[in-house]
Amino acid sequence: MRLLIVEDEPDLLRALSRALREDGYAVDTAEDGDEARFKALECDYDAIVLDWMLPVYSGLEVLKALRAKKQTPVLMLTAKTAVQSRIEGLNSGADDYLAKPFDINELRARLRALIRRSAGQARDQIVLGDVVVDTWGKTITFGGEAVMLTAREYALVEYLALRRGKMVSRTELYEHLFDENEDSLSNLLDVRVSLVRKKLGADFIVTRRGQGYCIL
Amino acid sequence: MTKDKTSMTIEKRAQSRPSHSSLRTRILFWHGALLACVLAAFGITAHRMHWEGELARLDRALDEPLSVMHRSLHQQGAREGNPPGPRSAPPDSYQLPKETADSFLTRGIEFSVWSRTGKLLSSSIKLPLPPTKGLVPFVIQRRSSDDLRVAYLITPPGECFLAAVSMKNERQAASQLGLWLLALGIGVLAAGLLVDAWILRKAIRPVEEIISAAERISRGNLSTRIETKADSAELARLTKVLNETFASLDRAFTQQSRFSADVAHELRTPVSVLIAEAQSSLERERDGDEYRETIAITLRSARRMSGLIEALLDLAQIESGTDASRERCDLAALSAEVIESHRSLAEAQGIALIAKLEAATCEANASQITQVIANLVINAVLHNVRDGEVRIHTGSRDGRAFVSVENTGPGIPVDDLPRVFERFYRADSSRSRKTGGVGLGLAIGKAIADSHGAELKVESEPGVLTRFILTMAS
Repeated sequence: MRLLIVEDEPDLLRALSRALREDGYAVDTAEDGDEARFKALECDYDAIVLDWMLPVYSGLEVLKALRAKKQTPVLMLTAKTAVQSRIEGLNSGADDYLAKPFDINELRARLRALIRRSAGQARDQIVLGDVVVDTWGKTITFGGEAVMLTAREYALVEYLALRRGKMVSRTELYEHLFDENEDSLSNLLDVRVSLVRKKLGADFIVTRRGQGYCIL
Repeated sequence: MTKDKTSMTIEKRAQSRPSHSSLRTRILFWHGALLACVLAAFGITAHRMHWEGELARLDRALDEPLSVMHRSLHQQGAREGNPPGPRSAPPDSYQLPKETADSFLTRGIEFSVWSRTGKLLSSSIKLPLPPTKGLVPFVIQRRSSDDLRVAYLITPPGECFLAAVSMKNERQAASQLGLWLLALGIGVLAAGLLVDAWILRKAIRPVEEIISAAERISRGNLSTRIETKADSAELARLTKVLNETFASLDRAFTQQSRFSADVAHELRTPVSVLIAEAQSSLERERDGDEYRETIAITLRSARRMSGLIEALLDLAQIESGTDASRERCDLAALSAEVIESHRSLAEAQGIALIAKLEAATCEANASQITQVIANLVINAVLHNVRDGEVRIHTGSRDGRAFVSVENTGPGIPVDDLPRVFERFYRADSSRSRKTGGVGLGLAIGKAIADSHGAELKVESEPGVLTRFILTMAS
């Protein structure tokens, strides 16, 4: 899952991106409205965490520009707590709203819910034969036994599981599982796929040459 | 139990209703009483005048029969050889001539004639001899008895003539008139009270409106204003004064609540940083560098909150005016001090500080004025272009000392100029954290200037320069 975090307070941006990277998200960051607008339109993020008050363009302006083109789920994060502000934010196309100061676990839960909903999955558990993916606890069981996966490996499984039966291209996987600082020409993805296969069975992830990967 | 309840209800009602009777009721009562008195006086006078007129008419009708009777008695006496006078007496067989009596009776006039000895000589009606003792002869006595109006006189020898006429019709007419007057009076009173109530209602309505508006405001709806077209100058003035009071109350409350909201808002970001940083750090084992960075970040956030709190306390202290000490000081010297202590900050930003300081003495609180100048210089340095300049001038002009601080910054949009002194206002709508300020520097400067009776103004040419000028009496 790839996220864009837009926040003009560098310390908060640092804390948020660290926490979410440790959850296995690929995280891009932006510190002002201009950068945020460019990145949000350029890349298909799985979700965007957007601060309201930003230099250059406000979060609301970024949101309006984004909504003209894309349906990326957006969680507004702001110190504005008045009911009127929340309504305005949601009416402008935000999918959720969280007021500062917030609990980082609440932010995580809301992000998970947003991503799950946008993938058309209403439940926390995805059952794939012997493998059960718990998107809430970010754990996977295989034949009833917990399997230890790294955060990045889990992210790969979750991304494919949420799109079960669909062929997902390598480009898409690179876009959603790696952030802007990682080199997409490396074979990191192949390494990760083979590690997952070792843990969950060789045919858990199907490869189609020239097309991509898929969980059936 | 029931009794208690009843008495409680009554008590409650007594409490909830104001103990004063309403102004309107009182005015109405006294107007009513006054009107009733005036109407009663008029009515009684009119009735009396009418009745006296009637009596006078009846009396006039009785005068002529009396003289006719007197003449006829003496004519009779004379016919019998007695000269008129005390000694000539008419015979005891005297009768009023028949034609005269008939003419009286056709006019409804009754008569009686008594002799000197009190013997009834001739009469059409049975009436007792009226008291004649001590009467002056030929002076007509009048009295009313029952339905009769009676007139009588005595002659010097003592004969008595009496004429009477029935007042039955007149009495009836008078009592009818009385009823009419009463009815009319009640009608006029009622109409008067109605008109009075209407006028009072109209006059009191603005007061009622004022009361209900004041009640709405006391319930917390401060945006309410009294909307009334008060006819009277007094009420119009009262309305105006009250509306102005409400407006300034409203302003003060709005400002206060916006200020609290702003403070909360300003504190939220550093608190968010603290929570997010601490929470994510505690989630797993970190190495020493990471912990160090976390602590550095939390320290930074704490300092920011502390700076905000200090600034708020400064502002509160300046506005409460507790430090009103004044001393002779020179704005040039204060500015030189500020420039010295901020040179390294300016150099770090690549900004040149250019000073042109001429003596500018004034009475002021030196440390507060130094703070104003420092805030202006810091702002000018931080909101500047790369390799820009900050020019600081002091001097005297028109007998006033001034210090001006201008920079080559991006400037402030004209629309925002009046707002730069507002608390937490920032030209960049983002709370640009890079500048590190808490957004209260100019508000504090303005508050200090106000407490000195000084003037702090801003001029800006977007893209060219921004200039702040502090002017005060020398």
